[in-house]
Amino acid sequence: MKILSRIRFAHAPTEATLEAADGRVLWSLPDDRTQADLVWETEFEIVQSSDQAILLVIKARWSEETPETAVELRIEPDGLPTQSLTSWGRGSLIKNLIFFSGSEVER
Amino acid sequence: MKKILSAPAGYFLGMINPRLFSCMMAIMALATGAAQARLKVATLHPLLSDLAQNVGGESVEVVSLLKPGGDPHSFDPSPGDMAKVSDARLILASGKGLEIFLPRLAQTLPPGQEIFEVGKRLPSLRVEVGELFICCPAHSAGGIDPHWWHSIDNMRRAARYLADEFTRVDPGNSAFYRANAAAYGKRLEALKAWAEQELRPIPRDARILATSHAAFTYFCREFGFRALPVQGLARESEPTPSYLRETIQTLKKNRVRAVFPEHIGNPKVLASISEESGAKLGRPLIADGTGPGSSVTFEGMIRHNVSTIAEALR
Ligand SMILES: [Zn+2]
Repeated sequence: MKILSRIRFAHAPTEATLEAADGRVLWSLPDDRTQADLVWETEFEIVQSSDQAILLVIKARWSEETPETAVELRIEPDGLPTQSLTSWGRGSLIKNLIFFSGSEVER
Repeated sequence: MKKILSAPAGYFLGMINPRLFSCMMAIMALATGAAQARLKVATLHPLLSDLAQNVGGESVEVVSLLKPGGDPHSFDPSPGDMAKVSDARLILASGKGLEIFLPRLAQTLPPGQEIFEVGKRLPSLRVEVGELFICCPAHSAGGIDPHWWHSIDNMRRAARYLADEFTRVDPGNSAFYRANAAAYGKRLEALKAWAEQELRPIPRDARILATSHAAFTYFCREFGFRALPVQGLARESEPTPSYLRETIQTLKKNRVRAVFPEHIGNPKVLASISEESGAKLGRPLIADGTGPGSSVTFEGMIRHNVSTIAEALR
């Protein structure tokens, strides 16, 4: 299943990755970024049937002076509704995100 | 945590930083835009022309086969229509079963021309009594609502899918198409925020959208309404007397504040339902995306529909 996702940080992280449930890295924060780059889009494919929940893991690290901050992950899986989840953290964050499918895929 | 600099190629199909692409877009347009032939695209729906123009900008030439005011449920392009766009690289269709003639059309395309169903990768909603429908005409029950363009989220996603498709057939302008889709997506996010603001004063129990045909399922899902259509998915037949009686009772029971006729189609049935049920007759909605004037664009249609619903139900 193809998934278009958007990762939006309230504060720029120093490190960040988006991983599939099996640990495969789907996206990581690129080197050629600036402090102003807070929104990232990426498209990836995971092996998944449309009636299963989608499991993703977001990992992020921020500098010590960053206050408590948020990262929002919005996913748009083919044939399924747009969904988003927001996670909060300070210093570092590892969060398992579960998205439930709410609609069927057109066949 | 280990810092990982790049993802495995097989799983990582693309990455966009919209800020970076806005700069690239300007440079690309200056460097290549003027020198290249434009990508010719024909559409089977005016809203797809608007979308193609927003994503393709000056790099595409868009020809609309269905004109504003037309009925997409009964539209069927003639051989003459298709001959006029024989040099188009792509034919854009809504998909989700709206164009029942598509399989036949696909067999008559000239070499090199392809159909792209813009709605194919979007979620499908069905007509069924429950979360989204209070009641529905029996002959449409279970059918997929093809009017996916009543969701702003859907149109934002469609822009990205169309940018992918334009990129496939015209890879030289990829950055331009993707940057346009991202910029248009931002405008649509602002439009959605405006729509939510406009609809906020409508109390929860008044969020019932009584319309002519079953065209607003995606709108209802996006903005927390339930639908009560008088006709089926395609305006295919007049409602039966027993279904009309049932509808009037449902309107009364749920104290529905207004019923909405449509820009195209016969308003008489809705007018008599309004009279019998006590629900006021709202201004016409644009159900099939083929509205006149400024509502011929997606943003214009959404602004018209949201304002019309908000003024009648709050
Ligand atoms: Zn319709």
